[in-house]
Amino acid sequence: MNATDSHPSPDIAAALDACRKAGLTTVRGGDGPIWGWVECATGARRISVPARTDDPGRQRTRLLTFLDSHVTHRVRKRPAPRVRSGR
Amino acid sequence: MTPVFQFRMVVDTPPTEAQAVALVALPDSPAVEIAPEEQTGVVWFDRSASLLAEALVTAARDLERVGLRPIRVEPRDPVTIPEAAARLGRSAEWFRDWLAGTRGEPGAPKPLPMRVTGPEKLFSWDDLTEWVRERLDPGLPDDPPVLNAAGLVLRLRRCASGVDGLPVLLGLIAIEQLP
Repeated sequence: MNATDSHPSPDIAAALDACRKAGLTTVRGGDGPIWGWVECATGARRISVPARTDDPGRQRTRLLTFLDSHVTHRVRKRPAPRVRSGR
Repeated sequence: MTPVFQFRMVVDTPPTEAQAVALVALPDSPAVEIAPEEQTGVVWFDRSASLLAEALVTAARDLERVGLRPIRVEPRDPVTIPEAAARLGRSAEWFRDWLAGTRGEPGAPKPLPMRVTGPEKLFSWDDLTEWVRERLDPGLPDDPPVLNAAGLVLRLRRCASGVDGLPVLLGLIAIEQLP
């Protein structure tokens, strides 16, 4: 798997870049009709990215809509340990 | 131009890799969303058909063909201008020009404030259809009743095998008998 491979469609590649910049992960798939997956930051949801498409604009909108819905999913941070004042 | 309808179907188990591959390989290349923790999945369709109902039925059949059971239908919002034009069976250029010609009028649809956008602005499909119905085509069909009815049919199918006298119950939905 190599997340840095760029998608052959410039439209989809741009949407994947936007996803990565927003903190989502792209995971490269196999050689079939699925190029890979975009996964939200918590790993709770992922969406397929096609290897080829007749309508890259539609695929781009799907990815950006997925991104818009899941960009707020963040891995929960552990609360910082409380420091006692010692008094 | 045959309209292209956009919607999502929720399935009762997360699609496997093989099922996802089979779906993405379909001519309209649906997108497959998997939620392993929630034990579910969502399939995003952009399906060409003369009616939304017809698009929903063929999509449900495709899901069943790969071994998935559709349990719910969701509208797919937002849309770009080319996508909205395709749903209306018009060309993107024509619809873009028409919409630009109504810009600034009271009630004209505005792009949605998305956190991330591509080169095309995104609009609410509901806002656009309301505007189109008001200014262009009063007969434009309303999606929500069709999506609601499809959801009910999917629920009914899940329990139909255990219902004694189902044909009698189905007689209740004969539209000509409704008050």
